[in-house]
Amino acid sequence: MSVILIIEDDRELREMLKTVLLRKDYNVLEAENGKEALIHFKPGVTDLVITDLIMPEEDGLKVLIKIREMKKSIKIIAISGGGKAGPGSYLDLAKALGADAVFSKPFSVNDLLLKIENLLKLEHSD
Amino acid sequence: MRRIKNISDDGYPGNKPEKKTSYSGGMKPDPFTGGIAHDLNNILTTISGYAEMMAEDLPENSPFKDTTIRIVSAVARARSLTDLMLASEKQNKEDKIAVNVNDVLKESIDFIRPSLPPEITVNCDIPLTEVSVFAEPLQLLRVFFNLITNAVHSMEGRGGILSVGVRVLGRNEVKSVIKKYLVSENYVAISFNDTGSGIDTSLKGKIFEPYFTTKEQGMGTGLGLSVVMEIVNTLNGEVQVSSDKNYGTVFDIYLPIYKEFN
Repeated sequence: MSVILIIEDDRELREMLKTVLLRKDYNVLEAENGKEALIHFKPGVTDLVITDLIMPEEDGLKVLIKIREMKKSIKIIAISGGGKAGPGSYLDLAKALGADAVFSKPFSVNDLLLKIENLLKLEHSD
Repeated sequence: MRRIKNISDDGYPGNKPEKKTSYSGGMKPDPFTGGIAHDLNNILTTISGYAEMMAEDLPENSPFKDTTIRIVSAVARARSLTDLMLASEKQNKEDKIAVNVNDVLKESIDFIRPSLPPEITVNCDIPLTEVSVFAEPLQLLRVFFNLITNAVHSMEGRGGILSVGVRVLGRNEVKSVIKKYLVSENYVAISFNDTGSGIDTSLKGKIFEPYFTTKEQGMGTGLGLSVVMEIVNTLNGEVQVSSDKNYGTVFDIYLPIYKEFN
């Protein structure tokens, strides 16, 4: 089964996403910030990354760029709950920087699961 | 020369710029309204996520099925409040400074270049001289990112060239080009000219509407061009677009120059 890395500094939200994904039999890796994610990211293992954008240590946009550099084919979903300039803006930037999909918090986990399924199908057909 | 009230002789309202900079990354939520809205959105996502899982686990005839739907709809109502908080926080916040358009434009292109498909080329004609406008660097970055991204999307699969150019308009040219009220004698024109699929004539009137998108769910917020328009308006600038279906699109952004260094 595919391996999904969750990068999210909100522990409760990270736990919820982990539960949702484990219920669908995905293998889950987790990191509580971008710095930790970059240290432990293994390009050969991870199929898809879900990353928050506004985080301490290393923000999600930088993480997105660095992970994309390490594995060009990886699927990346950016999630954001806003911040200084509102959710649309950071998500726009994430999309411009190569996120395959973006979700503004709060989002439907069913929509997220559907998008993950579609992206992983694309990855395996590449 | 047309002028409006509260605009000083250098063409800039309010406080004069103190420093020049460009976006260098790093994001932290504000400790007040924006930060609270951000944290609330995290909590709301957790609540709605567990509610959706409960709904999936409950049998169809369970009386609690309706309860989970109510939780999810309450979350949607709460989200409209956090959206308001974010919008309000944005209006109250003013971080404008003198920023070199050329630096931000180069940074935008450098960020995007590694993710460009091989069939798409970006040509730049950006002068070495500084051209400063009075803006938030992140806002300017968003404008450039959104326009470059749209251009790239319009060329995906078919290939093409995006030509990005910057030039300074003199007093006479400004009068003939800018349709809005002039707030400066000199403007900078930032042009994004792509050879992509172009915009269908029937959609031209809608492209700047919020949430209008031709992309599939999850592939874009539909806010890209409306954000561009909103930001350029706040900078006393103007957006002009011309497009030929199947031949490409040109977006010209005109911004009042704070001061030109030669």
